[in-house]
Amino acid sequence: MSKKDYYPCQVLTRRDVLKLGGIALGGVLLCGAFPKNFLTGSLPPNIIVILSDNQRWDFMGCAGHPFVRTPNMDRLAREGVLFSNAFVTTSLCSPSRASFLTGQYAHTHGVMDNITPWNNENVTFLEILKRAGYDTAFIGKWHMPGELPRLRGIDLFVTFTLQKGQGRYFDCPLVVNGVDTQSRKPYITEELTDYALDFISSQRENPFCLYLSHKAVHHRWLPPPDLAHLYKDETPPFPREYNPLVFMTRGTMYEGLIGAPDELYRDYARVVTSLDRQIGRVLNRLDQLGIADNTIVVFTSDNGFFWGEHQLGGTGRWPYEESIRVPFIVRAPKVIDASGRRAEHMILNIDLAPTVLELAGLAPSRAIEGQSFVPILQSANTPGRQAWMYEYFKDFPFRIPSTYALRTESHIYIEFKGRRGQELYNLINDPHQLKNLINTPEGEILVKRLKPMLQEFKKGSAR
Amino acid sequence: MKKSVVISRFIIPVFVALIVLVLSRLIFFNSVCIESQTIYHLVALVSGIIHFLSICFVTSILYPVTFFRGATWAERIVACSINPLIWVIVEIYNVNAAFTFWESFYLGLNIGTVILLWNFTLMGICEILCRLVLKKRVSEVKVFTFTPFIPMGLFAFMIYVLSKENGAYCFYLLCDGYIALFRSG
Repeated sequence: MSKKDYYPCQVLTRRDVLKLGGIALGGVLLCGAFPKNFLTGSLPPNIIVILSDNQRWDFMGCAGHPFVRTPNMDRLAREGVLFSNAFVTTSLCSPSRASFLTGQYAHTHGVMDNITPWNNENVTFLEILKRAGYDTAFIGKWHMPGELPRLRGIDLFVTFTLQKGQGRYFDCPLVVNGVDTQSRKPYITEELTDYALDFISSQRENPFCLYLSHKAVHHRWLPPPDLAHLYKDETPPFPREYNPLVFMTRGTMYEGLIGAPDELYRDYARVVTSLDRQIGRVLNRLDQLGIADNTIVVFTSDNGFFWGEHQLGGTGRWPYEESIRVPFIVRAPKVIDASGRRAEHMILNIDLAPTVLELAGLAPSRAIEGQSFVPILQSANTPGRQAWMYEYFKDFPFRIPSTYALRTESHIYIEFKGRRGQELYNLINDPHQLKNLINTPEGEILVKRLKPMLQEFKKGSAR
Repeated sequence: MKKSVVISRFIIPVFVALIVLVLSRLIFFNSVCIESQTIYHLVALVSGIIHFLSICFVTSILYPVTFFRGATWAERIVACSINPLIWVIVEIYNVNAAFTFWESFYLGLNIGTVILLWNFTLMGICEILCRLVLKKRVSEVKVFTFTPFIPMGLFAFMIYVLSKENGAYCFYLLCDGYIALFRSG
């Protein structure tokens, strides 16, 4: 009787060791290419990130907007998790977009305003996913200063450079993998979605990651012709401090908000609905292909928008709720504990990259400053972050001073550079941020606590 | 044409225009304190429009008044330019809350050019209209001369540039100038 027959489990021959070693090595190599997802227990999920532009957090039916119709965003919320406290760390297009892609604050990735160029040394989560075997596509608005980037790890790069990367709603010429290409469909949101559907539907063996970055809903809002009269009988719910001339003052004319405010507002809502329709096409295609269960869909926006709040109009920039808060929905069928849940945890744009990487079974790099919110997706009882830092760097010609702010669950403490000084608001008692607590007894106590916390964030020792 | 004293032909018209400018601004920016939403909107709308007129169309009143009170051409130009200039200075001050003095000055120079060119265009139109009226009283007045048409031509060109790509062309021109001046280092 051989040793193997006698100790069938314990004794391994030299040949067995080599054989097992070979299998293990093969397994490791294979896992390196397609790591089995530890969250879902299946092959790595496909990932789709849909980014809207300048869409306020509350411009969705599921967020309680009184008339805007967004059945597909609502569907995502119903089948996923709606984050009602999602924020951007810089409420401005280019820095925020770079933060989504890199998981870093603006002061780290270097795109500090709409003028400072993208640094090609920056690492995007798409690049990391590509290295892990994903097929990747960036489709849509890049809109970061400088030349088009030399992005690594992107199989398909569809974008536009017209008007410094803002593009236009109709007949926008595209750049497809570096080649100037005419638009096939007149309306840009539909055209970009067509490219996205082609990418999703491609025959492939690898999982894919699609980053679909829309022009909608950026000014100047031009809905498709069939939606041009939608909401014509609706009255915009402007805030108390709004007045009909508010968009013509305080330098907001550079936002291009010229015209009847009611109609501007309706056009914005129409473009949101047109975007929603295209999101619906993506969701339907996933259903048709039978891959919806293994595809994670994220929908969010780069910053908010003022519709008269604080007597302001236009793109975010200011550190107020209408500006820094964004819509954020995640549909992750095999990850979330209960679909249709609303999460109150504070999550940030810089959290997207580490979250996506974790969902793909990958570890985030040390350079990433955000935190994965996968645990929040998995359980509503997961504790969230207590505070985070907002930063804004002056962006010509908009007269908003450079800003640092500390946002906690109950307060926001703001330090403006220059003569505007500091502001402090209690967000529980004063959600519209109308009563500045600076120089009040309550404010003095709070500043003593919040100012050092902000300093820690500025130094980078807090995350 | 009888020439009035300097107080009547220059100082009083300028002072009245200035008062309108200041009051309309104060009322507009403080109207939000009014409790009633309807009254607030009404007050904001009226004061806002008056404020706009006191900046951009003050010339259409000041120029004829000073003209027929016998102000010299230099007095007329100064009188009509005070309100727009004050507005530009206030804008520079406001922009200076976020930007350096020279960055603010650059922006002020740009918006100042637009507003002053418009103002000179209006002065040109008013000059011609005033001469037409005067011609009915004094037959030997020459109504059409070359000078008033210079700002009109420049303004027409500026409108063409401003309207290119719905204003986007000019906006990026402004930003490119800023980058060249302040960010190229």
